[in-house]
Amino acid sequence: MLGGKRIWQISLFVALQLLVLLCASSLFAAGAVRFAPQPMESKDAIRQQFQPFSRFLAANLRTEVKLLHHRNYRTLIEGLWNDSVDLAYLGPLPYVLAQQQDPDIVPLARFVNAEGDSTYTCALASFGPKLDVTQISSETPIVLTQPYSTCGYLLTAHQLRSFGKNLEELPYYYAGNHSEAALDVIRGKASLAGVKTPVAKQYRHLGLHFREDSILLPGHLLVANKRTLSAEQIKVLRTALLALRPRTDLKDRELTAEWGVEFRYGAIPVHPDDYAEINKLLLQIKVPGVNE
Amino acid sequence: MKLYLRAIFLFLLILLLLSGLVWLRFQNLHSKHLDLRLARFKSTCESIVSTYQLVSQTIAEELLLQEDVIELVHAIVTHEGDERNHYRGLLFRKLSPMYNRIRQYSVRQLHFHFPDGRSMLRFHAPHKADDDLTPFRPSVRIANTERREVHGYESGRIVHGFRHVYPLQYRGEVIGSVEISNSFQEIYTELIKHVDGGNNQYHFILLKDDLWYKLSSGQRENYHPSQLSDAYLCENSLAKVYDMLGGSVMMTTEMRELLDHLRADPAVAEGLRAEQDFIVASCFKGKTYSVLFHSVKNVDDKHAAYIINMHPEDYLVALQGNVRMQLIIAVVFAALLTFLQFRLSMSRAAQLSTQKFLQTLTDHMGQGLYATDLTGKITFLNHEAEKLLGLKEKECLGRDAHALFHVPNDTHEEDVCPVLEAILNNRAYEQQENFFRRSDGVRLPVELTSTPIEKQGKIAGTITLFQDISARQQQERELAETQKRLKKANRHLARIAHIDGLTQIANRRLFDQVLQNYWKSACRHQKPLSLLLMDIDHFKAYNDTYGHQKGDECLRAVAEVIQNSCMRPEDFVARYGGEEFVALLSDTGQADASHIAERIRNNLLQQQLEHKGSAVESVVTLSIGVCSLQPKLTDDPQIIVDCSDRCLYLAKEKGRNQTRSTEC
Repeated sequence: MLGGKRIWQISLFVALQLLVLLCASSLFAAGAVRFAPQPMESKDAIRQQFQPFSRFLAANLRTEVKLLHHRNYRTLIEGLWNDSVDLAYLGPLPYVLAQQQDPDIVPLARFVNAEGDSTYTCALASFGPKLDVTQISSETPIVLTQPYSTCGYLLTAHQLRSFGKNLEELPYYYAGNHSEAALDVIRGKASLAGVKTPVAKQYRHLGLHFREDSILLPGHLLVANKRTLSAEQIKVLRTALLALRPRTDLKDRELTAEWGVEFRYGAIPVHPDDYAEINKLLLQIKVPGVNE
Repeated sequence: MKLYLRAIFLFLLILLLLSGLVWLRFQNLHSKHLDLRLARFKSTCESIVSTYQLVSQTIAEELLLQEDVIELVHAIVTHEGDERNHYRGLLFRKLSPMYNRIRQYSVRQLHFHFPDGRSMLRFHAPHKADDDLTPFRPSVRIANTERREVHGYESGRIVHGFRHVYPLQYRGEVIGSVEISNSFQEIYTELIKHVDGGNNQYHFILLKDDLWYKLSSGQRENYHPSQLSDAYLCENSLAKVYDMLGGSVMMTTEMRELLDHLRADPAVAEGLRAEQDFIVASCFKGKTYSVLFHSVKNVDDKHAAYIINMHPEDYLVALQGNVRMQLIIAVVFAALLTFLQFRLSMSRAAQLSTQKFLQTLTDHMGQGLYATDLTGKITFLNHEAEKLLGLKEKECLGRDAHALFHVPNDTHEEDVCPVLEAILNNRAYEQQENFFRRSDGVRLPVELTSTPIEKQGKIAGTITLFQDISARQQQERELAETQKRLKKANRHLARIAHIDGLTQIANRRLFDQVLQNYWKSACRHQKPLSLLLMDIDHFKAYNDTYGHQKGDECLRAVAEVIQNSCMRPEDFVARYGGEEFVALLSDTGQADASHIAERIRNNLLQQQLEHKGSAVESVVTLSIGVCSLQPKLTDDPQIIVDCSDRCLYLAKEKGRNQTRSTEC
């Protein structure tokens, strides 16, 4: 006959085993990690830029990483909020908007450019002879990317303000992404586009000119959903990203060579103050449909 | 056992033949179906590509090779820096609406090139320009250097497809080229529309040698070796990334597993090595598929890729079912045919055995036997017949028996065979003696018996048994001769037994028999019967006087006189003993008998036979006792003898040389 103490010990052992199994199963039950790249690029571009990067993520997480396609930031942010997205590559404004309402959306790392700079600017781009911004009238259409795009309404409005123009009083429309906004200017559909400076540079050979007058913006970042990813997973990814030295380390450079140009040069930690400027702008400028 | 083995062999042979025919038919239909599918698919592909080429040609001629476009291109080519960029932007601005329109017609790429092969403007990727295309794009090089249109498939670093490159000329000078391309995606979309609805699945594999050198290390990650062969690559995009991105689903699990299965198929390996169109049929997981491989040639007309089409083949399944049914029918038919043949063989064997038995029987029966049909032609001949007729079987079979050896009578040959005539009249024909003619012309006496042969109730021919009777005839002749001799001997013996040797007249034994017969006859006919008993007078003295020799002569002379004196044939004379004689006279009464007795006595006297020792006369005389009576069956014939004897005694008593009758 087993004594009462002995039965208690066995029960405790079994309970512990079950607990371990439960934890393990919760760790793997979710299956593939759902990664949402930024929605503004074409499918081919996403495939080219994010597939190698997702393999890096998968290798560190030791699980499959599934690429998700969102047509705009709004659905992507909603995906984070409703836990249908585990990881997301966001611009500054979407991050701020997502994080304002959901503190469980946490930054992992902020990417730097080829020069090691983790900031970028927005540009006002035009075709043909350099446009005098002060001459922009209500008859001149302006093309923007998306409402949630940092270089969209928010920064375009901010830049125009410096020329004494109020975007609310001017005709504008959204092209969907930076490239289309820039190309619409070249096509002659719009006289001015508010786009990221790196994208505007891509279309210089098509006669696109741009003014790089915006404030310095913190670079794009990778965020995680704390509710769907474990702290361990978040830690693993953050450590792996921050450990990369592609600008100096040959091995890392080879590893990231096929990643998108915006995130192949490494990352730096994210500080809470990095995005304070965005918050400040959001207080000044009401983006229609976003923070009205 | 032999019959069973033959039956099994026959069954297998028929089965093999029928199976072979079924298999050949199946192969023929199978091949035709697959060939037709391949030809149809090839035709569809070529049609789609041709249509695209036509669309491209139209776009190029109507929209691109226009003066204002050419002038813009010329401006781009002839300017540098911001000016070039500006003109390039203007070209983009000008053709952008057109590009958006033609994208609806499955045009994937619109790409202008500098004369040196660098990219001028990509409408499908406007952010990229000025990169050198010549290492990877032979079509661009050819169009710019050879100043001719180039059409065909060409792989690219990002997108593979069918290219249509047109050289651009400004006042006779090549100022670059423009390209309109359709990716495999568009081809695939059109194929889905045109080839057999939704049952088809497609896959696209690229020849590694044609592509690999064009790719950077990163781009190479977008490909993996084909499941079919390491010499081919599959684009990851088609298999994975497009799935993730919600794009076209190019390959199902079913197709992926089937391709894995086909890797081990030697026909597929051989086809891939040949780099030509081919099609295979494959059974996989209980389904039959046709998998066709359409070779895609690059602009150098070299094999560069395969479009693979997988199609579930209900027709082939039905065909296989049909073949299975035909094979079952073949088995049944072979079994039936074998069974019938087996039965026939058994029957033949039994018939042969019977025939052999009959042949043995007829060969050893010791009689000739032959059979004919209804026309008299010989259908069978046994050995004995051959031997008897001196003919061989082969000389006889099919020939008319009557004409060949039948000689029915001794004198002349008949035209109509009596044997056949009798048989045709449903009669048997038997002849104890008939004649056949041997091959050497000798007539052979035969005994023959001919009977009809009946088949199914009808006379079908004759069967004739015959035997040589020449020996028998000889024996019969000899027997007749012997019998004749015996009769003669018997007659001689009878004579010896009933004839008196000295006088040559009947003796006492015969007299006793004849008396009995005459007695009965007289009784039956109620006729009188007379007996004369005669004794030579003093015959002892005669012997004594003349000796026994003379005595015998005397007896013979007296017998002759008595014999001659009894003139009726039925008058019977016999020596009764010693010197006594009798004469039995039927149907003769007393008077006639006495008259005959006197005639005898007188006739003897007339002979004058000297008898010196006689006390009666000097010649030989007779004393005669005559008895005549009506015989009765109840009486003993001896009474007439006794009666005659008493009369004789009386004659002797009365002086001899006289006749005394019962009257006296």
